[in-house]
Amino acid sequence: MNTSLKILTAVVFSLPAAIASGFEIGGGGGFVTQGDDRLSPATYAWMQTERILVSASAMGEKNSSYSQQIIFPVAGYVVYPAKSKSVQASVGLGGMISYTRLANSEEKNAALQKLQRTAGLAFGLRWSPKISRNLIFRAAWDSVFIPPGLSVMYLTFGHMQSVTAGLGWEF
Amino acid sequence: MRAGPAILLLLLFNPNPAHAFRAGVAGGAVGLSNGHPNAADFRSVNTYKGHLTFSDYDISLATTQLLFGRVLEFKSGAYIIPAAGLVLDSNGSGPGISATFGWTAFCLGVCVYVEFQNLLGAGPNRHLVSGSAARFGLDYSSK
Repeated sequence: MNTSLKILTAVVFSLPAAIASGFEIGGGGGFVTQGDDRLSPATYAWMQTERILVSASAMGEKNSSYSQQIIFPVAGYVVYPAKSKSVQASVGLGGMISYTRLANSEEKNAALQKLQRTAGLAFGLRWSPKISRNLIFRAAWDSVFIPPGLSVMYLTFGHMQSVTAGLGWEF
Repeated sequence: MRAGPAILLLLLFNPNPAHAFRAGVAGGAVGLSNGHPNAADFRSVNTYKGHLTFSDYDISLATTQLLFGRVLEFKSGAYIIPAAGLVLDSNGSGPGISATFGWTAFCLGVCVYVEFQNLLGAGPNRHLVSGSAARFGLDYSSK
C-alpha cells in the first residue's frame, strides 16, 4: 500500500471518531488587515472537532490594473484557556496563497499571472457560544506570522490578521 | 543520560506554574504599520517590552502598547494574554485590544519566553491601529 493510500485510509477511518467527539462546520464574514491600515472584506469558513481546527479566510480585489485573490488557510490545535468552553484558542500552521493577474496596458491582450504560496505560524482566539442545541455563533480573531526566509533571524515576520463572525452547526 | 542534557531537559519541561509576581523584559520585532501595503506586511523595528504580572493580571508597556490583561496558562508553560488598553503605531494611538500567544521555559529563577502578539485598535481619523510583535524575553518570578 503506498503512503498516500495509507494516509487516506487513516483519515477515512478517523472521521467517525472526529464526528463523535463533536464536529462543527460553519461560515461567515469579516475583514482581514492588508498591510498598513488597509482593511479588506473577507469570507470565512471553518471545520472543527474538539481539538482540531481547519479554517480559511478568503478575499479578493479587482481593478483596472490587476485582480487578486488571497486565501489564508489555517490548521490548528484547539485549546480551552478559560473555564468556559466558549472561549477557545488555537495554535498551528497557516499560510497565504495568492493569485494575482496583472493587466498589462502596454501589451494589449497580454496578462501576467503569479501564484504565490507561503507558510507560517497561526494563532487564533475565538468566542463560540451555543445559540441552540446545534447552532453556534462564532467570533474569531485569527493571525498568521509568516517568516520571510532568513530574515526571520531578526525576528522579522509578515503578518496578517482577520476578524470574523459567523454561524456554525454542530453535528 | 549525561548530566548536561538531563539538566537541559529538566529545565525545558519545568515551566513555572502560577506565579504570585513576575517581571520581565523582552526584545524583538514589532509591526508599527510601517510595512509595505502587501497582504502580509513585513516589519522590522526592533524595540523592547517590559511587563509586570501580579497573580494572573498583566501590565505591559512597549512602543506598541500600554495594556492590561489576564494571563491564561493552559499547558506546559504555554499561555495566552487577552488584553485591552492603549495601542500605538506610526500613525497614531487609540484604544485597542491585544492577544499574546507565548511559551515560557528554561525556568531556574529566571525564565526564558517567546511570544507572538496581535494588536488591533481605533486610531485617529478612522485610522486602524494594526500591529504585531515577535519577541524573546526574560522573566523573573517569585511565588
